[in-house]
Amino acid sequence: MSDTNTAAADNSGPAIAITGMHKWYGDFHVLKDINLTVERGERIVICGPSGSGKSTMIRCINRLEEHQKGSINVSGIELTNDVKNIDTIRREVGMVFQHFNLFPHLTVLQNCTLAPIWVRKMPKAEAEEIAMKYLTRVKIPEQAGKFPGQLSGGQQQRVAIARSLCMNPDIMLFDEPTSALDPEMIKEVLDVMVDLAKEGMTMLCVTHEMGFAKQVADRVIFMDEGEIIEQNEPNEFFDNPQSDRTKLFLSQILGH
Amino acid sequence: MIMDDFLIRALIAGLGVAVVAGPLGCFVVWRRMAYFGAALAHSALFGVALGLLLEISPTLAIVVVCIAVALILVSMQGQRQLAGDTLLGILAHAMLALGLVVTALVDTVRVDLMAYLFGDILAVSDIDLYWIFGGGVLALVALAVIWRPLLAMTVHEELAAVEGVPVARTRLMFMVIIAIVIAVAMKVVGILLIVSLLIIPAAAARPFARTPEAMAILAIVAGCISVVLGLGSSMTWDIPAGPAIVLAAAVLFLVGGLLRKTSRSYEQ
Ligand SMILES: Nc1ncnc2c1ncn2[C@@H]1O[C@H](COP(=O)(O)OP(=O)(O)OP(=O)(O)O)[C@@H](O)[C@H]1O
Ligand SMILES: [Mg+2]
Repeated sequence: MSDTNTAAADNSGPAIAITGMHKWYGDFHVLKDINLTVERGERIVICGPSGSGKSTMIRCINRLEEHQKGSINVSGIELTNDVKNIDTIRREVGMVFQHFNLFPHLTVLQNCTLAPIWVRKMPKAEAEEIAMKYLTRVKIPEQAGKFPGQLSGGQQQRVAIARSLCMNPDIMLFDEPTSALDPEMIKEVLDVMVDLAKEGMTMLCVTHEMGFAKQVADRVIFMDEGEIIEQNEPNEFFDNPQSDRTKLFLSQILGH
Repeated sequence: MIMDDFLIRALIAGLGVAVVAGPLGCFVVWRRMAYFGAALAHSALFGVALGLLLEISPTLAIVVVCIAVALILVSMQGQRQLAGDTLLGILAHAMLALGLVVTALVDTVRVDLMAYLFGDILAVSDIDLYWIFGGGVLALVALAVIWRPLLAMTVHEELAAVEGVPVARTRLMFMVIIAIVIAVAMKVVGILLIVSLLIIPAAAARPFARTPEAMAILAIVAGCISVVLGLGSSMTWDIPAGPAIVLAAAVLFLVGGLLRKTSRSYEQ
């Protein structure tokens, strides 16, 4: 879009625009000609077999991985080697990983305020106020003073979501946020994500929770071998899959 | 007992090192970098040899060699051929062997190998003290500057990157700090025991600390107690001071662990 040096987020266009993007790990062609536009407030679920490149694709969006060809625009800023652009984009994009990884020696509240205070230089009182707001939103304000080791896996993952929200992102990336959890804890985390979706957050979620996809996704994307094979709104995607690979994948995860 | 001059210097040197090693050691423990630290320490002898060869300060040469080895290790982290511990093992011992060989080759003035390997705290000179305090203060200030970003990276490196922590710069500074501390601590406990001075006080502090900062301070306290106890036993029973300090730290760790077990820890 704009090629000025002043990397300022543009909130009028699409949230994310990926065109003709390729990525290699050495000789291994891991992402092939990815084209994807995500509108503001859109909720997207990405699924596909293990190794199909789902994580790699969303990790390219905040430059945890570098792409080699094509372009990625986030809020109108193109991802290049320009550190300033990367910084600006990372301010727009929050991420929740599969493993929650909270610091065991910091309380839940301190875990949430660490980055706002020390990276964003936010005053402590303000950071704590914001952290409490998001801990309330993920329904665990009463745990603020506890240490992560005293929380269940589901609670820890909700703290991870709150922690990410404290940085006030416009876009949230989730990489299988529930797949490391015991089954009885998955719902509490998904509920928090559903609330977030209802509030209009732009979300890209890699997940195999098809109930979640049906409930909140505007679009479901199926990836296989580094390509986007098919994308559709959830009902069409599940009831009327077009490609054989999608059918096979759906029969495997739904039909046991 | 008469407080001899050399004893006072030894005490000051030991305490100086303990004050830096405590907080730094916490990160070595949190980030599981004990073997990384050992690899750097093992390379220090090559630094000594290089210093003799080029007729520059061995301490300076150690810092340079340690930083170089740290950079090599970091640049090889991405590779997938060798497991990390294998790589560290190879590099550590190859560097130690190289140090021994080169020392033997440049050995014109007869190098006291034992002093380098196990420390010679009772022979600390005024110049050594300047190095320890100069290096120590520098390392402490630098550590204070990167404390929070490093903490965030320790929790989750990618998350920290996503949240805007300058990961590469912070990591580089952390390695330079380790290199400096190894160079100045070598006089006290020697190449082979340096890592224990980093990790044992931190590990001893761990069960008692509820915040990272408290753990750093407790590690300093544990380190200082070990230095005093170690030097005391060295004087009393005429045993080598460096190993005595390390043993004292290990005893503290054990006693602390037992105490804590009876009153139950809050985390794993
Ligand atoms: N750092 C790397 N170096 C080389 N190959 C890699 C690297 N990271 C991932 N890969 C490969 O890239 C491919 C895509 O990986 P990716 O993690 O994106 O898959 P995924 O769809 O997220 O799978 P999963 O469902 O198992 O998480 C895999 O074949 C993987 O082995
Ligand atoms: Mg993945």
